[in-house]
Amino acid sequence: MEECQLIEGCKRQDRKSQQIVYEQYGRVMYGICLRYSSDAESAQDLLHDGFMKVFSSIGSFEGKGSFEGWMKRIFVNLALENIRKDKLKKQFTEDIENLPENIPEEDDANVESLSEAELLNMIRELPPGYRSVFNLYAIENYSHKEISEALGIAEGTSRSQYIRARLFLQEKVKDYLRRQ
Amino acid sequence: MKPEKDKIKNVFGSKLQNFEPELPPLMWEKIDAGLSAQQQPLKSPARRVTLRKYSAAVASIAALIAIALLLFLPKNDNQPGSFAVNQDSKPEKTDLSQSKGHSTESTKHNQKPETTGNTNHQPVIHSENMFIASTDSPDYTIPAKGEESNQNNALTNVSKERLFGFNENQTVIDTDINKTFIAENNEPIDRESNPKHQTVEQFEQELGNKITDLEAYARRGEDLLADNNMPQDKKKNREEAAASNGFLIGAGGGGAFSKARAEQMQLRRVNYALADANKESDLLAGNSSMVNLYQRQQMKMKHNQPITFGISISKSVSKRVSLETGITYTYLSSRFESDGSSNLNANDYQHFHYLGVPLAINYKLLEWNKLQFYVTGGGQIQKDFYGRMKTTQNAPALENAQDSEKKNISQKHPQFSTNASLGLSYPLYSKLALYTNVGAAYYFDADNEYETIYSDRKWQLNLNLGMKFEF
Repeated sequence: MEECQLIEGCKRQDRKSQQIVYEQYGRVMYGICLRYSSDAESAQDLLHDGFMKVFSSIGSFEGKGSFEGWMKRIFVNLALENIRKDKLKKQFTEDIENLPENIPEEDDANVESLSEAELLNMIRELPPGYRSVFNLYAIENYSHKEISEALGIAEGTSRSQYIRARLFLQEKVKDYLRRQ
Repeated sequence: MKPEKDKIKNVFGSKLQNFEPELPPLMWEKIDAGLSAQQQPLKSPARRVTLRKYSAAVASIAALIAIALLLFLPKNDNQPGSFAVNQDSKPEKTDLSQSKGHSTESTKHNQKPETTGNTNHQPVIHSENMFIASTDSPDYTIPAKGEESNQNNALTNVSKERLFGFNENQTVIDTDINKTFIAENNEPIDRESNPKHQTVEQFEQELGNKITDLEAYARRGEDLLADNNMPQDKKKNREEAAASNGFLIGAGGGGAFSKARAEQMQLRRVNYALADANKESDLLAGNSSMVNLYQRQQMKMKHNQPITFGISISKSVSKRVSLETGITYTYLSSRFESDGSSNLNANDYQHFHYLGVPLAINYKLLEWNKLQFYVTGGGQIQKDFYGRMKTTQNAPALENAQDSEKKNISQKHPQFSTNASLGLSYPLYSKLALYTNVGAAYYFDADNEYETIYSDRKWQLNLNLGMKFEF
């Protein structure tokens, strides 16, 4: 079935079309959910809520851009909304402690040997605020200005949090490779 | 930081951007169940359309009524929120030929009070927003000493009328004046059968006692004006205060019938004034509190703008329609002041604290970004839970002639109102929204004892700003 037919089917609330969309894009969306969540349960809740949002708002999709990109934005925005709620609960300001000033970069070859699951586990160890900034900057390719607007933080905060998140991950990668 | 040297970014970005982990089991079944539950209300499109039509019709009618009323509402002659009402008929000239003779000698004569042309005096008609402190001076003369009781009737009624025209018994008192004069000249009124006269008799008795005291003062050769300091045992309630002040006024007149020299002089002044009612201004310059009996007095009422706080919640019943309720607190205050046209000044300040429960239906007209425009129609029930009135009365011309009292007041009936407005809201966070609306509210007549802005300004424009919780 063509993508446009699937979209039209979803707009008609056709359950078969909705299931195909889920099966076709579910994995990518679940990857996003895992990156922004600190545990699998939260990631599954986000996946469920994300698809509910996709199917309820699909009427607003005008077909002008990528359907997958549109869905990704919905999932990322939903994840950020949850993080903003956490921010109100003071979880957002959790800091990374005991970070070294500078960590030498590992060889590309060694880093490339890390699996996606291992990288994902490292990201999920980051505090929520740092994790969001890292995801948005390193994976979604947001600029720090866009991140500051999306998260309601200062641009400088976004920049410094990314640097600290990167140092944290470098340390994690180094530890992991040392254990290998 | 140079992007090309950011290995962490490159590695994590490239490996996780399109990372596709295995989907959790039974996730689709959960989504399917969620979609089914969400679509349940959509299975009856006819009902949804009907509800929407009804909601639109109600909202449109409410908006049209509000606009029409705003455009075509007849304008009140009085200033909004502040008005003074005056019985505009001037005191009729009285046949004072006999009164003129009321100098020192006249007090010794028994003379019937004149009631010329006043037996047909019409009761005062009160409009709902009229605030009347006095009626026309009824035509009468000062009776001779032997007719003090008759005079007292007149004084009683007139004094009460002048002093307490603002209370709820105004019409009764006005009517009683006529009845009193009719009774004095024609036939007696069966006071026993008419409880309205009970208080008059009480007042008569009290006034009689005061006059007796006054005469005792006069016999001791004390200055007449000192008599005005007599009522040391001022009563606390309003009716008693009326009697007390009535005595203050009456004391000058009462003193005039005694034999003291000072009082004779004063009485001449009064009689001179009575001979020419147009010279009322001259009387104002005099020291006699009796003068007040022949003065029209105006009271100004000023309602302050109500201050309202509230919390509201709204529940969506469809995409466009929501029901809204909550709780509101309102502070109402009003001030009543005499306009200084009389020797007697009376000032009242009343305030009420109201709690209200509104119920409204909102219809969303359009949504732009997150900003929602809507119309609202509904009603509210309010009831006061605390009220207080402070009354201050004084006669500047008389020393120590000041009286004040404070008392708790309450309205008997709840206040109902209906309203329609246009509004807009903007979500602040999650389900919390900032809103503002402008509209009109109509306050139904609650038939309450105390006048407030609700009773005197039925239609009011509302401008509200607040936050509401939507769920």
